[in-house]
Amino acid sequence: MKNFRLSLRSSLPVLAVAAGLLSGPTVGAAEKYPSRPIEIIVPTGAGGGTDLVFRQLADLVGPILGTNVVVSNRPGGGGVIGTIAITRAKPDGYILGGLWNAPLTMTPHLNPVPYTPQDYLPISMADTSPTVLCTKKDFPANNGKEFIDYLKKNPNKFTYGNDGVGGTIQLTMERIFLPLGVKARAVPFSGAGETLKNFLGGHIDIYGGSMTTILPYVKDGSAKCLLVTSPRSVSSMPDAANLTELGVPDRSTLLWHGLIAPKGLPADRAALLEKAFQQAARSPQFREYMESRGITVEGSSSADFRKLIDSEYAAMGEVMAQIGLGKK
Amino acid sequence: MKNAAELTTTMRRGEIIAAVVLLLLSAGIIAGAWEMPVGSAAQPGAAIFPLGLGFLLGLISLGLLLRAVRLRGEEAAEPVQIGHPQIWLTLFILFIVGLVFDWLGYLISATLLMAVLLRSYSTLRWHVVLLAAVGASIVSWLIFSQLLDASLPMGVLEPLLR
Amino acid sequence: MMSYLIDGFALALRPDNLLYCFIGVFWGTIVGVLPGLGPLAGLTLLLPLTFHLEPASAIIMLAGIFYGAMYGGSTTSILLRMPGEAASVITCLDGHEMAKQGRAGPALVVVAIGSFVGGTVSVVGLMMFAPLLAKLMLQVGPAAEFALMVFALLVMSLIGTGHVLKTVTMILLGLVIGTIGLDPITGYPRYTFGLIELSDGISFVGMALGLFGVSEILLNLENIANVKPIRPTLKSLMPRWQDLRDAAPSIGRGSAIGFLFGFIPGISHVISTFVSYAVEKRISKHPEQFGHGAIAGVAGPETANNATTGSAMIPLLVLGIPAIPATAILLSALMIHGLQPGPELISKHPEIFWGLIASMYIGNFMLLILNLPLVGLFVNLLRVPYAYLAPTVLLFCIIGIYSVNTNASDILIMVGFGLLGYLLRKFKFDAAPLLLAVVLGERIEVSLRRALIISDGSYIGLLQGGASKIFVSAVVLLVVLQFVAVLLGYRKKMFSDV
Repeated sequence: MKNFRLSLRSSLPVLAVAAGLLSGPTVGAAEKYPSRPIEIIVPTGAGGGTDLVFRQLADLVGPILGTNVVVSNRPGGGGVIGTIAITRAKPDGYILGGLWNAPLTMTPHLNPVPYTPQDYLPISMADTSPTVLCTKKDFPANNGKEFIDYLKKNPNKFTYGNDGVGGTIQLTMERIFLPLGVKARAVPFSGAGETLKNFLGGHIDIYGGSMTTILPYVKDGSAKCLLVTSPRSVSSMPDAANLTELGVPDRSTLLWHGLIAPKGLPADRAALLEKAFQQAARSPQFREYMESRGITVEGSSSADFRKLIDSEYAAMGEVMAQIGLGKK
Repeated sequence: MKNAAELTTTMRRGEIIAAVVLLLLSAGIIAGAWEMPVGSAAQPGAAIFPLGLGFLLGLISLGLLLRAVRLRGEEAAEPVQIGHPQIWLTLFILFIVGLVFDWLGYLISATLLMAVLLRSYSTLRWHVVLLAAVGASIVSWLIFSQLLDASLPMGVLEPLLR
Repeated sequence: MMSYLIDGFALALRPDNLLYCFIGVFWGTIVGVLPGLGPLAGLTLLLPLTFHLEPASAIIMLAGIFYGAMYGGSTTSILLRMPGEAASVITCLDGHEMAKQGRAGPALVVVAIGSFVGGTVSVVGLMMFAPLLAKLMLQVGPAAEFALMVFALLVMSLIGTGHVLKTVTMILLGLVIGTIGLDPITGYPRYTFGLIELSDGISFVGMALGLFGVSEILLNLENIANVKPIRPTLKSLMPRWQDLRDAAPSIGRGSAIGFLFGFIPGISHVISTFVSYAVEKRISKHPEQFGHGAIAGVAGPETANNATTGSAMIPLLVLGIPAIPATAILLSALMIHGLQPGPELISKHPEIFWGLIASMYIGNFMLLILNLPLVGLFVNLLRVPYAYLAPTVLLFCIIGIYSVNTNASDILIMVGFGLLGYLLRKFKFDAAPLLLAVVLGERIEVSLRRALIISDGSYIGLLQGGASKIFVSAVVLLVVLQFVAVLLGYRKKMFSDV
């Protein structure tokens, strides 16, 4: 705990001022970075899956950078409020952002937001995980192809739960449905937990959401997952068709977590952070923590992360236009 | 004791004003909902719920208005006094603190708030008030920000506190 | 089952687990007492500590924070009329009146006892009926949820003290305020005036602290010279025999209501409080005392919200679904240790489930022992002269409200609602129905719209499924009866008729 750090500090204001003068802004380029704690703004409430990922990363990346890295939660507006805070922060490398898909690549198409993909610098993507569509065990389809054919034969008959209109799951699924000609009714819930509850209670036909949440029901045989939104198969979901099998490998959207910084971050600091976060993401502790719940560790480069964000941003805009969502 | 910062009215007049304000509000709600997407029967849009509420609120405030207009006797004439210098001062200083909170940071804002309120509510002298305000602000900062990890802004003092 | 329970107690009574349980409930009490902090903040803060514990100890400690916070939540409501969360709004009504009459001690003691009884009943329920209740919870789909929420609104119209028109106005106003922000279904911004700060709606804690805490201070300022600090004597600390006799049946009914309503998704702890209050008021021989310090109006609701804590754990433990944010953190804690809550948790890891059950019995007892002496401490707060107490309370309000969302504009919201609350009280409008309607509003709308999407726009289709048939028809019947009753002017008799 960091109790009473203040009392010590505030008793030494003279020293602080003196230190400030010595390492002042005039010698910015030569200033050692990082020389004080780094803050990762996570635009979601504390304790959720996303928050925990970044808290793990912060703990691991601290020793690598040689400073404290702390997570601060800035929830609200589906992540938009925190993202604004990140993009408007001073680009000195002491404030970073811990993000996931929606606030960067999806929400901007749905509602006006005061930032564009050019207002931030992607540093490294930590992990990715596909989402799944699952049905009860008595659904008249036993593999991905049968599932898609059956849905095609019964347009707008079946309901699938997702995480909200214009949310990650709906867009991910519609992106696949569109080229395949599938029509199903999207029922928006607040997250995978609520979707699962309504799926188990028989109020909706199809579960759409993260794999972790539904896994226990796949294991006990009461649910079967028939489609996974990645180009490759997933070992824990043997029945699920991947997108290559369905002939649309380029329609894949994965959930991801990644670090961003405000634009204008000096290149040397960006490079340092990129390396440190890649190292943290690839550490055995992080790998074990993520893989236990079926999530793939990435630790991607800044350039690859930028490419992914840009292509996902464009793809989501198209999907929304085609299903009649988007800015009014 | 009667003074300039106080308004005196009756229950009946207050209720009539409230009903009229609510009536205007319901008109605003309906006007706002008018702009929203209506959706369809199977996909009810954002407009439906506020629109319905706007109409219901309009109806009920008409009811309130009728009741208030017809109100007679003791209940109607019941005098209601609103306001007091210290009430306005309290609201004002809270409002100011809300505006400058992020900029000045917790320690300064809290000192300001405590100083003004203590001085206004109590008969303490200025130097005692200031001492108490600074003390309260530092102690509460230590407890909440440092011990309980609540997030409080450092504001302009940030370079000193870090 | 007995052998499992004995194993559970063996685990929970291990010295280290007793310590973790104590840390949990103690910490829970602290974050519960401080407005704005609440169980969520408490859980997040201690979560990292549990990474290095064994899973059973971790869940024992974290669950302790969760139900411990329910105990503490009412303290500021009673002493200062400051509800830190929706579940303690109702407690302000009679709890703070009791404090003003110098009976804060009895109120807090009764709350501690009621919380203990309610908490224990809910553990018994969790132990005996968890799988059954889980099935019932699954039956409640969007259509049934809608019906339940409408029912809750009807009950809410009974808690006001003023004219029924005024209460209904407040409910409607609350529902309207609840629509501010992004439409939860389509994300369309409603009444946000282009402000991103408003996209999640108006801060609930800001409204609650404004309408209750700040308005109370403003009202007291009118005669600050005459507000005398309350000097509690030892005798006035303890409830009188009559108090206990009055409270006991309410505690019993509160337990039953809290437990029964526990299956309502998400906000059962809030709904149970005002249902209990309405029931107490309806069956009381002195309904006119409600709102003026009726002990039953404190005992019932506070028991009821603690009686829902057990049911709140059921979706998590039996189904693997975190129904509320606090249990989402418990889920995270289990998953960090490689345990997947869900249908196989109880059979594969009985030590977790039964250890937790046993620890909840122990923890509730610890909370009772912990809270009774604290009553003396808390009541002494009221000895502080009002000129010093009021500024301090306002400072705490600001800290609480800011730390929830790290957003200074929430302070302005609190100020605005403080003024509104002051005016409402001057003209005898009740603030409680407004606040509770804000909480219910979103769920009413969202559940109806989801139900319509599922039924493809057919209102008859809403009646599919056993649970929704029962709930929807019951509510339709109630609405019709209530409407007829209002028309005939018999509203007061309405609930005894059904």
